[in-house]
Amino acid sequence: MSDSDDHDEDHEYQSFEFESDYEDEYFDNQSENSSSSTRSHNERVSPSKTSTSFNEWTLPKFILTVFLDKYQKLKDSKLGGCTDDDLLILLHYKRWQADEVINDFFDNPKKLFEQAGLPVPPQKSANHLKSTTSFDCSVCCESYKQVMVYELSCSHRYCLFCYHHYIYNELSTGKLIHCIQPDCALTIPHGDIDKIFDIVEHDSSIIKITKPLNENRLLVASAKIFVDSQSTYKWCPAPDCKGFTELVSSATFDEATLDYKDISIIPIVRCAESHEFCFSCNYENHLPCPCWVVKKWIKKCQDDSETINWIDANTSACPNCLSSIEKNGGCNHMTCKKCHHEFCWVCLGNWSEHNNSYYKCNKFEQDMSEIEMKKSKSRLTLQRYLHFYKRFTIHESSMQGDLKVLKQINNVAVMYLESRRKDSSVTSLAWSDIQFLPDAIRALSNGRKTLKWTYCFAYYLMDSNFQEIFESNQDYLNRTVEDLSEIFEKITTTSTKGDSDIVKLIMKNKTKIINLSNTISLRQKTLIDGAYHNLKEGLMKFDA
Amino acid sequence: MPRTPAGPHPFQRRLLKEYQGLVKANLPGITMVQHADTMSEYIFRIQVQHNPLYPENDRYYLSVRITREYPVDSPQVQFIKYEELDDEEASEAKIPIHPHIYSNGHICLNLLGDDWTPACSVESVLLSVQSLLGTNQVLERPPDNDSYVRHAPLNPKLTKFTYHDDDV
Repeated sequence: MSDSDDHDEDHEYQSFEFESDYEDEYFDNQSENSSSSTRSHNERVSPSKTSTSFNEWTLPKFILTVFLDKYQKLKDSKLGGCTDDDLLILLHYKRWQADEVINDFFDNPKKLFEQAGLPVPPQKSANHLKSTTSFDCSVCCESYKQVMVYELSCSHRYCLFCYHHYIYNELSTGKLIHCIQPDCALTIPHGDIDKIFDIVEHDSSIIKITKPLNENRLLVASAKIFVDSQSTYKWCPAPDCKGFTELVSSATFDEATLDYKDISIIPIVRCAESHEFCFSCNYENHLPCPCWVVKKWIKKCQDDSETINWIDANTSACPNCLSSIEKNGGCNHMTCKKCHHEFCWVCLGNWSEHNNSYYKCNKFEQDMSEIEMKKSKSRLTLQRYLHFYKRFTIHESSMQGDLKVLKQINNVAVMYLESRRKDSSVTSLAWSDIQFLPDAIRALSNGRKTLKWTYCFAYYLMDSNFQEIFESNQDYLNRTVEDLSEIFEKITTTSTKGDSDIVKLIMKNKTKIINLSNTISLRQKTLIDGAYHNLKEGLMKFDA
Repeated sequence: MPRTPAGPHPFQRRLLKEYQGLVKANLPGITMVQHADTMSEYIFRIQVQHNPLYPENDRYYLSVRITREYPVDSPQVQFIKYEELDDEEASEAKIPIHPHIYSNGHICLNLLGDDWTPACSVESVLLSVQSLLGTNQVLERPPDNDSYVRHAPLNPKLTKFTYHDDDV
C-alpha cells in the first residue's frame, strides 16, 4: 500500500469519525496519523547521499500538530474559569505559545483576557447568534422585519450578512477577529466564525455538519499566513496541490556560488501528495540539473522556443552583421537596417555586384565560403538547441499523458479486483494486489521527469568522454520508460473493449510491469548518482 | 466575494444614509466641495483649526472613493492637488506637510488600514484626518518620503503601511 493512499484513507476516516465530536477523539488518533505519513526519505529520486531532511504537511495535519496540540495541552492543565473557546483565543493571541498563556494567566489574568479580547472573569462570554424581529443594522443600513443577528458579550449587534462580509474580509490576515464596533476589542470565537459562514453560505434548512476544528476557517487562514511567512516552509508548486513542506535541514545552500558541482546538496523535497520539488528554486525535481542550469534553460526556452522556429523559417541573416531580417516587400535589393549593408536576398551577395537586374538574381556560384561558415555555425547551434529542446518537451507532454493514464488506471484497478474476487481459485485478496499499477505509473512519470531534465543537462554539458557514459545511461532509461509506457498504452486502449480482456492483459503483464518499473527506478538512480560523481570529480563540466 | 463592476453598490442604502448624514452634519472646517451622483466619490475641503503649524486659511483637499467592497473594506482616501475655480486660494492648494502624509497625498493612518471596521464611516475618516493635522507638532514629511513616492502605487490602498508610532 502506498503511503499517499494510506494517508487519503486516513483522512476520510477522520472526517467521518469526528463530525459529531471533534475535539477529544482527534488527539487520540494523532499519533497514528503522523506515523502513517512519516516514511523513509530514501524513496526520493536524488543522489544516494543527501543531507536534506524535511517534513511533509497538509493544512489539517499542520493545524492539528502545531496549533491544536498546544490547545490540548492547555486543556489538560485546566486553567480556572476558561472555556474551550477562551483557551483557543488565548493561544491564538499568544501565537500558540502555551507557556506564555500559562505564565500570563497566573501573572495577570485580567490583563491577558483584556488583551486577547475576552470578557474579564468573573464575567463570562455571552455570545448570541439568534433570529430577531424588526432590526436596523447600522452597517448596511437595512431595516429587517426578521433577520439573524450576532452579538458578543458587548451587545453590539449587527446582522449576520454584515458579519459574514466582515469576517470574510478579515480572514485574510489570519489574526483574531474582533467585534465590528470600532472601539470594541472583544474577539469572535473560532467556532462562531464557522457557524456564521455555514448559516450564510448554505441554506439553513440543510442539516449542518460541524467542521472539525482543524478545518476551522480562521485556523486555516492563520496556518496559511504562517506558512507564507516562514522561509523554512514552502507550498508545493504542483498545480492544485494543497500540500506544503517544511525543510528541517539541508546542506548550506548558497545561490551566489553558481558554479558548485555538488548536486547532492540540491534540496529535493516531497509534499504530502507525493510531488517532488526543489526547495531552493521551487521547481519540480530537476535532477540531475543544478538549479542554476534550470534557471538558464527555462529562460532560454521562454526567450527562444516560440519564436526561434519561425525566425529560422522566415528570416535570413544579414551577410554582414548576421542580424535576422524578414523580407516583407517584393524587391530583392535588401538594405540591412542595422549595418546598412546592401545585399541581394536571393544569393545574399553584395548588391554592388548586381548591376541593374532588380528582380532577378542570375548570379551563380559566388565564393561565399566565409558567409556559409558563419551561417552554418549559427544554424548548428540552433539545431543543437532544438534537438535537446524537442526531447525535453516531448517528455514533458508525455508526463501529462501519464497523468491521464493514472486516472484511468484507477478504474481498471477496481475492475481487476472485482474479477479476481469472482474467481474462486483466488482465496485472499487485498488492495496491495493491485497496488503495483499506480506504483508503476508513478515510477514511469518520475522516470520521465528525470529523463526530461537530462536533456537540459546535456545541452549545457561540455564535450568529454564521460558525456558518452551519461548518454548511454540516458538511453537505457529512455528505453525502459518507453517500454513501460507502451504497456500502459495497450491497457488503456483495451479498456474500451471489455472487462475480461483488460484483466487478462494486466495479469499477463503483471510481472513485466513490476520489473520494468523497478528497472526504471534503478536506472534513474544510476544516472543521477553517475552525474553526481562525475560532476564532483570534475570529469563532467558545464559550459556556462 | 463576487465582484460586479456594474449596477448599484451592494450597500446602496448605507451610501445614501451616509451621504444624507454628510450633507446635514456641518462639520467645522470640513466642506463637501464635490460628489458623484453614485455617492461613491467625494472631495472635501479641510481646514485645520487651532494648530499654529497650519494657518487657518490654508485649504487642503481630500479625495474619498468608496470601493465596491465598502463598508467591509475601507474607502480609498488621499490628499489631492485640487483647483477650485471660484476659490481665491486655489493656487495655494497643496498636500499638507505631516510626518504621516506623503508628498503624493497618501496618508498612513491606521483607521484606513488595520483598524477599519464596517462600523466606521466616511465621517469618522474625515474627523480622524482632521485631527491628524490638528494634533501635529512637527512640520515634516515621513522619513521615507522620497523612496515611497518614487515607487508608490497609484492607489494608496495597495500599499502595506506599517504604523510606526501611534502618538502623532
